[in-house]
Amino acid sequence: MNTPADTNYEKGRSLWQDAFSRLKKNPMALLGLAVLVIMVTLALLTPWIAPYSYEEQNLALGASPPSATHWLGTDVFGRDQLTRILYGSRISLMVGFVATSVALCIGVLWGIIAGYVGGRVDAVMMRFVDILYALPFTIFIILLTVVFGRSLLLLFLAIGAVEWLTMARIVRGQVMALKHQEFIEAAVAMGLPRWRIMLRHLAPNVIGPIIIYTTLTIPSVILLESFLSFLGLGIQPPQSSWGSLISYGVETMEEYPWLLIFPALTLSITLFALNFLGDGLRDALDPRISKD
Amino acid sequence: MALLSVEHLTSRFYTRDGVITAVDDVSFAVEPGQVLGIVGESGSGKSVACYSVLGLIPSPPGRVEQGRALFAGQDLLQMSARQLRQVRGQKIGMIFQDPMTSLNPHMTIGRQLTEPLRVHGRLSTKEARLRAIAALEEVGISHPQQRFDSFPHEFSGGMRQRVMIAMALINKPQLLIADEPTTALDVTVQAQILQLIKNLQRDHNLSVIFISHDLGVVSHMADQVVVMQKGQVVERGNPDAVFFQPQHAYTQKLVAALPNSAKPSAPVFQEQDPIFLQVEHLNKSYRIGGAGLFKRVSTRIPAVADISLQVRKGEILGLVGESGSGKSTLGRTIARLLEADSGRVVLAGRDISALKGEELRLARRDFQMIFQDPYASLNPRMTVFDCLAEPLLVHKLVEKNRVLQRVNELMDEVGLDRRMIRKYPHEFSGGQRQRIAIARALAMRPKLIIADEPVSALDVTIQAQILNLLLQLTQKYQMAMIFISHDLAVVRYLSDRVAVMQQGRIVEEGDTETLFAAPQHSYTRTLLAAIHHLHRAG
Repeated sequence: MNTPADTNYEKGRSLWQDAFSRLKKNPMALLGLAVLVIMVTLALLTPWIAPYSYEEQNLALGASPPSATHWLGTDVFGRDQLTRILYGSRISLMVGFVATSVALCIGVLWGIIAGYVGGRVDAVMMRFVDILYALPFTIFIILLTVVFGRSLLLLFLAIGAVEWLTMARIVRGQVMALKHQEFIEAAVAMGLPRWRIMLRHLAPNVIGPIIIYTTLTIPSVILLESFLSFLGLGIQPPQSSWGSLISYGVETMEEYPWLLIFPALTLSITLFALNFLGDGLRDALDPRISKD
Repeated sequence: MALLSVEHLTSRFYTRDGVITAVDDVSFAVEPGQVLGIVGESGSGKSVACYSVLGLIPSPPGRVEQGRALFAGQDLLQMSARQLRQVRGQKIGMIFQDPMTSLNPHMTIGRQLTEPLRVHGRLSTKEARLRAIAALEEVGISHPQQRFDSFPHEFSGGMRQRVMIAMALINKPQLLIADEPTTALDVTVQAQILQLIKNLQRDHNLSVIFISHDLGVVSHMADQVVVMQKGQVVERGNPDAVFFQPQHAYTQKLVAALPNSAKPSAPVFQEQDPIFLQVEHLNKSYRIGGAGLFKRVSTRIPAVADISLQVRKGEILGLVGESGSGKSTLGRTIARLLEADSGRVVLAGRDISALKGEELRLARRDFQMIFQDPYASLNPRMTVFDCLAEPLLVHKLVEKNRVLQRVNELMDEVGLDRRMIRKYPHEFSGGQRQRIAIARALAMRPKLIIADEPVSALDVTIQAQILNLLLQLTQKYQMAMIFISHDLAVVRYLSDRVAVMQQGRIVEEGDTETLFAAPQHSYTRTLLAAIHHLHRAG
């Protein structure tokens, strides 16, 4: 019966450390993590490893299918597709992760506070969410652009400002269901401070839905960026992003299918990786699921 | 010849964590017109055995490996799913534990009752209605004509169980399988339902399989008893023999664990000791509706009405009542988990009902609660160590470098293995979890412990251990305890004094033995009469 885990039982481990050791036993999650790490590394190294310049045109070449010189082909201006996808990943991954983190932080905190405190605080906080929900997104964005002009920072802000709403609602619902559980009552009876109850007792127990929703938010944010860029917020040609490459690819897919296939494939691989990692994290963070 | 004879039945569950033999070579028989009681603790396989026979175990992962189940000469285990459905609807009726979830909330009682008639009995709608109304009348539902079109939520728990019984019996089965049919009910309601089952059994010459963890109830109901442990039958015979001269060690343990005696030790406090906890004119009502920002308060329902009580140091006050009597609300109000409308609670000279904010939070270490459900009262994502260390750190009760030592001491105190502190709550059994919850309350060295039904979710043998632990700790640390329970036997075993609650009021209060010997109030007498002690037929 004396396994190694038994003998050094006195060494403390947090939920996250436990979760990581469980995650290491999940090959799909590790694969997802590896793919994401490679994506991010490539994005960071792009200026040094990209074979061409993202704006250098070669009108004589025009749109050419994949070849030895241009692995993923070129677009109608003769720009190298691989280079543009690489540069695009810088924008898209940044938008995806930063905007989602913004949404995550605001949404989770907002939801936990509204759900846990309840009563009037909850009513006011959630009516605020409703009002923002009701605001037409396009008008909101155009207003922001008119007032602040165009910047990448504003892009994060705008996306974060809409994406946290759903997160707040989901978290609030979960917290409302949890807060009448006896372990929360026990925490109150023990005289724990409110912030500790929210962060140590509520937050870890709503992590499942949060992770699922986060892995759904990242791709929708990446695609949202192209819509915002179309409205004039965010990036402008000749800069590229996955979203703008895909929307351009859709327009020309009958003549030049590779312009759609490769950016779409890149996005899909990223999403698969995210989902595998997300599922793995959710399971790893629930001590009830894996037994060891 | 036996009506149902089960021979060498074995069922296994093939789960991710290995193969579990839930029913291991079990044989039993039910004679026509007789009641077979199957007794055992949770996980003993008593329900799985019956469900296997009826083809009701989830499969996969479950599988009936071998055995025969001859019902009126036919082997149920060899039947097709379709034949088995016919038998279940017409020849064998079933009642389950929880009347709240076994009725469909979106269908009227009448429709649910007539459905089996129209499916199996091929009666017309009108005939079915008449049969259903007659059945409702027979199980003691008044005005069955009007109640026919009611929805389940319009019935109380006991009434719903009556409807379930009517439904089980409506096709005039030969065998009734009752799986813990009264476990979710109050004692007085339980007594009525048991009487009803008994009467129906006699009138219709029914055979009944009565599955229960409650030895007292089974001794009242059964003609034959089977005791199960870990999937095996360990003892069988008539109830007198099994319960009064148990042969097998496990049966002896079960019988010995029954709390049917007075408190085993003398009170540690003196009559002239000063009052330690004083509750004065406490009131608490619930607001119905009107929670939003712009809504008005509609009505208030009183749950605790003008309650005063006193507890001395080292004394255990038992608080008894049925569901809805306000006993839990009272406990939670004293513990400041609910806000009182008016009244005062003074603990060791300090008015804890007036404390606010930070002062209240810090004072909370003096009064701790132990909850009913040890599965819900521990945070599933915190290890035992974190769970026990948290109050120590938050209230700065020990130096940081001594936390581990103190947690280990607490583990010893409640009888848990020190090596388990890095495990999560789901890795423990129900009794062990309740020990963790007790250790957590104890960590703060409270002056008062309010225990809200702490043993009612536990098996009898575990229950006895936890009760003794509570008793021993109260005496050792000279705490006052309010012990809330619906179970009079348990309260008698543990309490120095008892207060009986009904509809938010204390109707009777007194020394435990005096109160049990000579109850004054009619409600107390009803409660006491409803207890099912072990019962000798002969």
